[in-house]
Amino acid sequence: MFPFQIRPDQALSEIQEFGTKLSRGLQTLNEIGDIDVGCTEKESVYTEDKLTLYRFKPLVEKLNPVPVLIVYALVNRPYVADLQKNRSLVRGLLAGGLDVYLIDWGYPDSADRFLSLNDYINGYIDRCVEVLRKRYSLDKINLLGICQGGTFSLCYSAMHADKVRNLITTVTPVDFHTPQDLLSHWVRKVDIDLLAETTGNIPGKMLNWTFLSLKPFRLSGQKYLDMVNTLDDPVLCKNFIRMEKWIFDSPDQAGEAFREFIKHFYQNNELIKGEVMIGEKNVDLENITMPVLNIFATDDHLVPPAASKALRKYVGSADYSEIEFPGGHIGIYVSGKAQQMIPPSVTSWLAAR
Amino acid sequence: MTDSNPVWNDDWIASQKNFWDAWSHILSQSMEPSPSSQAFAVPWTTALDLWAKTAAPAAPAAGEDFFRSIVRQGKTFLRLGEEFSKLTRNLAEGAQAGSNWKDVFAAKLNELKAGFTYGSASEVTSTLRGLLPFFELPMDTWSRMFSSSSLLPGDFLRSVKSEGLRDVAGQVHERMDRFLSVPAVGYMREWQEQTQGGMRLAMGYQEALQEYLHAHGRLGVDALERLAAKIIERAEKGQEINTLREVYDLWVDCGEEAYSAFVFTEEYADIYARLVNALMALKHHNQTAVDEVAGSLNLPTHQGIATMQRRQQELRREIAEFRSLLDPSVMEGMQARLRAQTEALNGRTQKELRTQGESIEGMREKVTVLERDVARLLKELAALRNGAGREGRGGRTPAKKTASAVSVVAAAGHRPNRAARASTAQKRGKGE
Repeated sequence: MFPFQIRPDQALSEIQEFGTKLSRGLQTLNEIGDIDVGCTEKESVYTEDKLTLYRFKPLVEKLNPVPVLIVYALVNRPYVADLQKNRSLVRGLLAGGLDVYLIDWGYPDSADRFLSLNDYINGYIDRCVEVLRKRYSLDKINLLGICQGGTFSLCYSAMHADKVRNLITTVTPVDFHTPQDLLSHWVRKVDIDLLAETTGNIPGKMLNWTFLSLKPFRLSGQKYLDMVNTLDDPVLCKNFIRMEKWIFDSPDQAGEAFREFIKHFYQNNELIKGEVMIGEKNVDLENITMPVLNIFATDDHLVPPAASKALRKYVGSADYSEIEFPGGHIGIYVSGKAQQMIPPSVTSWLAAR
Repeated sequence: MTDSNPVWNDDWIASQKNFWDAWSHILSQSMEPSPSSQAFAVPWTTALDLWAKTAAPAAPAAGEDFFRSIVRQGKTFLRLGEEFSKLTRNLAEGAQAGSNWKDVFAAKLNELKAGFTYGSASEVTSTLRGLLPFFELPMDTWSRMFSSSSLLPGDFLRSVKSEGLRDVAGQVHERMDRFLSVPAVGYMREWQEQTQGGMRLAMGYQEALQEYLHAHGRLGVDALERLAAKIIERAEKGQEINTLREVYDLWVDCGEEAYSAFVFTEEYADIYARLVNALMALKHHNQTAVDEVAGSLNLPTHQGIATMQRRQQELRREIAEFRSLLDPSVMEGMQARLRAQTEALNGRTQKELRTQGESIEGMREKVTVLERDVARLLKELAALRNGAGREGRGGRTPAKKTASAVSVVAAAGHRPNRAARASTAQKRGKGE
């Protein structure tokens, strides 16, 4: 049988329809106005260099007495955790009675080129933790790490177990040499010392394109064509553009920290071997003895589930739990399904501890 | 639509509709059967191009990138539609002429595959490149990096087609190598060496780049073969393809499959790493060269700035450390820790003293017992002596009696009697 049954008049009407939708889309774009991100009211409680520690305004009266500090990745911006009212991990946690703080790393520039992982983890994170310990007169607080921020939280908790009461990791790479880890596969043979030495800071745009290159047809092509069909809906259009804004809002990476992260974590997989040194301190995941909740996404193309699930094998905690989210790396924060699943699970898990 | 925006009025919307209607009319004429397939030029992408140019200024700043992305993808979609319209027309004409559509399809496919060979300057090649902007994302990324670091434009070495050189590539590279290996001499020796090094690195990068592009050419062929296989599979199952969008989605699936199969291989990791490493080596070399010029003019150099950045970071670290020491809460913490340590030390000292006191008390009791035993023994000895005086005239020998008394003393030294042990336990109970 001859498979192509596209009649010329049908093709023509398809093209005409496409053109009409584009015209309407342009009209929609003019209607939607400015794109706002970060929906929940927050106040700055501590700043240092380009870092800002925010406290989100609580949404309920009765709060869990132990605050949660969200440690975001250095890649992209943290407002993905609070993108819009109906797509906000932060809002969900606040509604569940948590007192939520978040570290915003800002946009490093050439003056930050030699910021190391030690500066980030034993410096910035530790000082933010100190702020909260003092503010609440507590010995220990709760940590919630996002992606690379999860890896940082693991390192921090292993080195400062006396300051962390509960640890939550979300889409966090632990084993960097699992078979489906394409990023790791790509960088394994790159001379990272030469790259960092040559470029100084790593341009955020370069990282963007690298992430898009993981699924180039879908992420750079098909999704835009799909969007043409919904261009006449201002709400959907605005949501889409908001997400686009986040995807392409990529700070440059401090060269030294990037070099260390790629070399010791991605290339040498030292975290699970207990060989990572942050400053003069060794990171041994066995030292993580506090309760741990590890959340990963089944369709994560950036951090494959196996890379996160490896944590179970290496932590010293007797109280280890996992949540498997049926979705992708970003969907775990912004999808409707995630709003129903993730914040309630985190708040109830913390309430029990 | 807001009233305040003069752009958005009914006339403008109507004009947009008229634009697409007019193009529909032109397109419908162009799709009439014609004797020559060359005359079948469906200018859909041209229409979109023209429209985008007139409409783009009306796009708001917030959605400008988004709009541009959609138009770019729209063009890819339309270009694919154009190609497949031509293809289906060829297939239909072939079928009418009695040919098997699969043979015509295979022939067309081979033509398309040839278009993926770099250096090919055919019309098909440029069309295919237009359909595969995604394949080249990683390359594009590094090309931008190159551009930002070099005096040369980003695609400078890309346009050096190695196909043209391939036949003589071995000879050219050998001669270049020989030329670049000539020892530098004389007054400009260092400059010569540096130039030779730079040329070697540029050649290395050009080779890595061509290797990368060839690999992506193969990837395009693989995607096409997967597409052909899927179309034939559909035909055999009796499944029709009714819209251009179906063709596009099928192409995306095949592209992702081929891409995924390739980029997970060791070969790709090697090619990718060689490209990045070669590019960085060249860029680094260029930086050094620029530094030399800047240094000779007493201008800041890349190396000098890096040193300052490093020192500045070290200072920031030290300041943060000192500041944390000055923080009252840290001071309080340190004081609390010291207090706790002192208390622990005191507690331990007191405990040790008590233990030692008890030990001394025990020894004292033992001495008391011993003294008592000695007094008793002396008394017994005196009594024995007296008795011996009286029995000197026929009693036991005194030496034997003395040995027996000493053994009693030794036994008493080892183990206090029951009364003494009870007394010690009572004292411990009182905490004395």
